[in-house]
Amino acid sequence: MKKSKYILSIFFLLLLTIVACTKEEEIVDTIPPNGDNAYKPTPYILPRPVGWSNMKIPADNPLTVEGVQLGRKLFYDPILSLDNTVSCASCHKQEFAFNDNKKFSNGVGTGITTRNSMPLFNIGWVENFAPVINGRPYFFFWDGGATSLEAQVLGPITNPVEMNETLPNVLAKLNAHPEYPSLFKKAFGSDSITTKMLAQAIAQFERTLISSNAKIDRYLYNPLTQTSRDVSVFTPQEKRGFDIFNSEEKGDCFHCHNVSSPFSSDFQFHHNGHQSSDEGLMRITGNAEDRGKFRTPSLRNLVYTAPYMHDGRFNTLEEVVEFYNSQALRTFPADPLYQKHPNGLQLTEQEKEDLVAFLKTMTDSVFVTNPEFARP
Amino acid sequence: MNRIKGILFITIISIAFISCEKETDERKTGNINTNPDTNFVGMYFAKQGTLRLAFNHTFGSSPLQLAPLTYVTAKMDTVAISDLKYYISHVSLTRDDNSILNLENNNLLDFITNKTDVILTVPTGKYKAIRFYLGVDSIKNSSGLQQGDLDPANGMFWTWSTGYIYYRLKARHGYDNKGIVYDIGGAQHLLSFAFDLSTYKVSKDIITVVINNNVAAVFNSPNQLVLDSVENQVHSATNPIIPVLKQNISSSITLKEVF
Repeated sequence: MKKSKYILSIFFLLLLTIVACTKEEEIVDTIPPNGDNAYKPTPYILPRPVGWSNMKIPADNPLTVEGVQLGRKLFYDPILSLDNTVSCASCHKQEFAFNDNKKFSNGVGTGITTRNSMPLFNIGWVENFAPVINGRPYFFFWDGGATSLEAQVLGPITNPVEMNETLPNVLAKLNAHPEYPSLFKKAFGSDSITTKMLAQAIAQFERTLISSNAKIDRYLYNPLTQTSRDVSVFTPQEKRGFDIFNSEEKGDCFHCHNVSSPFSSDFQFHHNGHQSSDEGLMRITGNAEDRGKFRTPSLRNLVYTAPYMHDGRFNTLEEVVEFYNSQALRTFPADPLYQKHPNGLQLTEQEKEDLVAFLKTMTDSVFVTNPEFARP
Repeated sequence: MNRIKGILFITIISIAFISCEKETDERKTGNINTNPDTNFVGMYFAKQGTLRLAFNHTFGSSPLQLAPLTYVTAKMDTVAISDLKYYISHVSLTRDDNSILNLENNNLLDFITNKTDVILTVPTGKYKAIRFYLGVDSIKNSSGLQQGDLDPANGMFWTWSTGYIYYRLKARHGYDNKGIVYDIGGAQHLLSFAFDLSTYKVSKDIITVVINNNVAAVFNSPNQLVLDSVENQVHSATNPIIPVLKQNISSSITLKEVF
């Protein structure tokens, strides 16, 4: 009995030794970077649809309930613009899958954009799949100019034809606001609002904009039959359109718009045979071979996102299908894939209708009415 | 038996002390130089010291002044300078044994507000050369957003093509005051500067390295710019005139003195 007590005390002393030696490090670990011990945000659990990859989220911006709610408030608040008239939601409206129904969007005053507003859904996964070339990510905007969702947020705020505001002004307005400093403190542990915190909050909200309730999602994984790639969910016409879409000879759409993934995009930059003076990816890389290349957009929620293409040149899905059928360039600078069809796709009227019917299976009406994404 | 217990107890306690002290001891011996060495070239910090990298701005041989003061370039253009800002990052020092000390700084210098010093803490040692970058490293340039001198709110940041503006010179030229903006950035345009300090012999707690930034060289050396015929609006990493400007900026920055 005495002996065991003795051994125990030795053990305890050894333990003390270890504790004493590591104490310093532990203290460093338990103090949050902002030095505020009361800062305890609630982790936000992001839903992950069956079969989807885990969204890549930056280590320094984990999703929290407080951060997402703050981001949502900022997204809908015109305080971010020069004259407090334009918010993110002005050009990214939920009813249009967070796009607007305009060819180009209106900013502050007479400002008008030079490209079509991009819809916002499942954009958190762009950082999983979009290209990183020589260490430089090409993630957001039509031309890949923004290297992260956080960096993207700053674009519209400072673009003279969008919100036309300066970052020092935005920060001054937010820091002087009756509510924002305390909301930032809850989300990030500090009520001294910085550019980084502003961008992180909006990015957090945007990462929650998940669309996964279209008919095509039941093709990808049918919870009733518990099978993947279940074509039985399609009507006969949709199935014919699906086959045209995935055929090398007919539609040949699937190389860039991979519909065996929920994102219906290869996340790469291509020249799609359009004729336009926009430099596209070349504006960012400076490489002449990138002229006119744009990010392959997702086809999800197409019925809400008209008009189409980087410059909103087409008003209907029928016009888009006809463009690829008969109008797109088949030679340089169009993507080399286009040379496979020197005489166009030569789809019949029926085939074109079938293709459009299939495209409409990517419509997620739950997403555009989800109250969690609406104006708070 | 009790004596043995006592000895064991003391042994354990002393092990605890020794294991805890070890690291501190190493730190101590690192800091105390018991044998001051006068056989060195460059900079010698006998204990942890301060390196002040002071940027001195000139136009040719005169101290740089802002507009409306007008200067004349080699090609007889008149220029008046209105803004000069740039990032100085990753200062590194070469020790006398050729090993490198990397100081992970990122400082935004601003001529207008007279924020022209980079202050760094340097451990004990002998250093014979200095190196630094004009710009921001490629990882910080494209990964996430930073705070402090790297906060995009400082205005040295492109939001449409993520990345820092490494160097900004704004001026007006000619009788009609045409605008010049040289905003240079992009991972491929990081400029590196290295200076040998072995002609100096300075042993102090605070050592100042004066770097001269001669803005006249941006217009004159080695490429003499004819301001009416070159691209004067540089707002992206892809502007074709950047290689020419980079050569001139490289020649504009020189080591002046160490004291």
